[in-house]
Amino acid sequence: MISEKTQKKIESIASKLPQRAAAMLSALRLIQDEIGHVPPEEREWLAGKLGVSPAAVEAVLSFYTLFRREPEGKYTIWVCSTLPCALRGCELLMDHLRHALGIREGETSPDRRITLKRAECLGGCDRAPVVQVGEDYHDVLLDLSLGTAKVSFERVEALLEKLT
Amino acid sequence: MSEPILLANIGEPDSQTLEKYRSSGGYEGLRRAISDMSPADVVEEVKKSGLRGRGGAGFPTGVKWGFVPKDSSKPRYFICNADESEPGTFKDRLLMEQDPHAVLEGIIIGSYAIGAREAFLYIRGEFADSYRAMAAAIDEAKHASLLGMKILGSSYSLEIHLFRGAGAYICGEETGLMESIEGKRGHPRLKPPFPAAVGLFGCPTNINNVETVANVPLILRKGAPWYAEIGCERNTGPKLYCLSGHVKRPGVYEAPLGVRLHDLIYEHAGGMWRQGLKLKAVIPGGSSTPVLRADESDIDMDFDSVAKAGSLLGSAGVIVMDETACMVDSLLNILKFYAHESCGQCTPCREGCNWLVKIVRSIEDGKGKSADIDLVENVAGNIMGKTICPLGDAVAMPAQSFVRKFRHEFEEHVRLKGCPLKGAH
Ligand SMILES: Cc1cc2nc3c(=O)[nH]c(=O)nc-3n(C[C@H](O)[C@H](O)[C@H](O)COP(=O)(O)O)c2cc1C
Ligand code: SF4
Ligand code: FES
Repeated sequence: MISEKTQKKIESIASKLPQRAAAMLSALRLIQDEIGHVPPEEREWLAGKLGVSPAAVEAVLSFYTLFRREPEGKYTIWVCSTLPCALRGCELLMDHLRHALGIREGETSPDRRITLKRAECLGGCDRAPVVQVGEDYHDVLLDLSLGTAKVSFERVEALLEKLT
Repeated sequence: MSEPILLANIGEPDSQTLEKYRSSGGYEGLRRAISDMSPADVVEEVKKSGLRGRGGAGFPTGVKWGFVPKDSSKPRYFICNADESEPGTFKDRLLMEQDPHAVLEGIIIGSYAIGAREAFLYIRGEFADSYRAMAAAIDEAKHASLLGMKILGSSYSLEIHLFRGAGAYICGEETGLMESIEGKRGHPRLKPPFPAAVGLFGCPTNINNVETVANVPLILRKGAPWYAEIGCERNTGPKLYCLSGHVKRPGVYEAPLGVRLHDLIYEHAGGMWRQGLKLKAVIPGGSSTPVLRADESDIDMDFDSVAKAGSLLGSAGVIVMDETACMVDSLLNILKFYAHESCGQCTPCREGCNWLVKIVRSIEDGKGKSADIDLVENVAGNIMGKTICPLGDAVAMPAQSFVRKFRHEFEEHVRLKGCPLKGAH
């Protein structure tokens, strides 16, 4: 079960809003930040806390991409693959990451360190191709110096090394 | 290139701080609004400025504020839409991260104008830096009596609730966003009733984009006549343009509404990213807007001119494609995005999106037939205008325009049984 501190935070958010259910997204985020995903027990608890049915919590959880119902790797690498990133070589990057990590899209590395996922436009197309890890965006993983797009292996390695 | 107005603070050290913002006239607009003007005066001033919404549709902001009933017994709400998810768009993020007080001042003035005591700022879930910058700005403003109880010693009080999305493009649609704040799936609502009458929690609500509200302090500080001088007729003010794709310097560039698209591409963004390659196509307003061929793309970038050219200014997300871009593959990419983001409430959108992906994928993979090209247009035509929210149109417009304008490329894929540009990078 989540800590008392987080429970109190959720109560404080819910009590300040015109309707308690409006605390749903904030609460799910807080639970996930603490546990890593939103387990069944917490879903039930939250439904009671906000005065909604357990089904209502399930509906929200399954609708939003950023919520996790199951545990994932310690880090999730989101590779953006929408048009502006695709035009600047995101598939090369995706291929490279798949090989470097030895996993397919959506999978988690055997050491549970990294999950690899495909993202939709992250609103960072000025830095395309872009990847998001945790709260941070990373760019220039592609080397354009030779006139053609190539994955910058050093930069990708440096990023992966940071994720321990 | 003219002096930046909206981006004047950006790039300066400490541009996020209250002190810095105030040193260049920040919160003067709010002071003027609250101490010298009635809410109706503020609405009038914004109407006179000609400001049109920057969230996509270009609806006049003052007029929209005027729709919120003054005599309702229910509370009124002001929402700022910071969900920024239309592919190719990244201007609101810049404003929030680097000039959060401009966004905040705009929200406070707008809330005062419609008589809201509570405002909501809904920030896209992935934008952690925007969230932190806005939260810090709200704290600073509260301590300086610019927000909270009795703002600047007046009788006006306002509370702001910060919300974070959780990864759903459709929550950028105004009623989907309201459902999301209410703690539900972001399913758009049938209109009417419009949000001005029945919005958030069933109460009268106004919703504006981040860039829209960031223009408001300037109007109040410097006056509507000053503002209306910028830009062109019926399209006033400064505008942020997001350049992405095959340009040398992708980024956010400010120019008055009506700037030439080719100036944005070749001067601001430095032209094509690789020497010797030619421009093939431009999507002028985010991936949902109709594509333009290179030969039709030297246009004025304001709401009316882009519409006249057969596309839309939308979110001003300018996606540039050089001759190495495959138009079939690019359309497939766009269709996959909307198919993934369709909320599934309407049959034409839910089924149509998936069909379009299937058909265009088969053409790209060399398994398409000639008749499939017409089928794309046909399916798109059956989505257009037949759905609850405009996401249906957002998928139909690119599908129709790509096929109409680059039909020869689709035909070539069928004839060659594959993509001639695969691996062209
Ligand atoms: C599918 C869809 C997605 C949208 N996404 C956004 C968005 O991310 N940000 C935004 O400001 N407006 C978005 N809009 C437009 C909003 O519905 C609304 O018109 C806008 O926030 C109004 O603000 P404005 O009058 O200041 O332009 C979207 C609309 C649709 C149909
Ligand atoms: S048009 Fe699509 S996204 Fe919009 S309400 Fe209908 S199914 Fe949902
Ligand atoms: S397309 Fe990748 S960040 Fe926009």
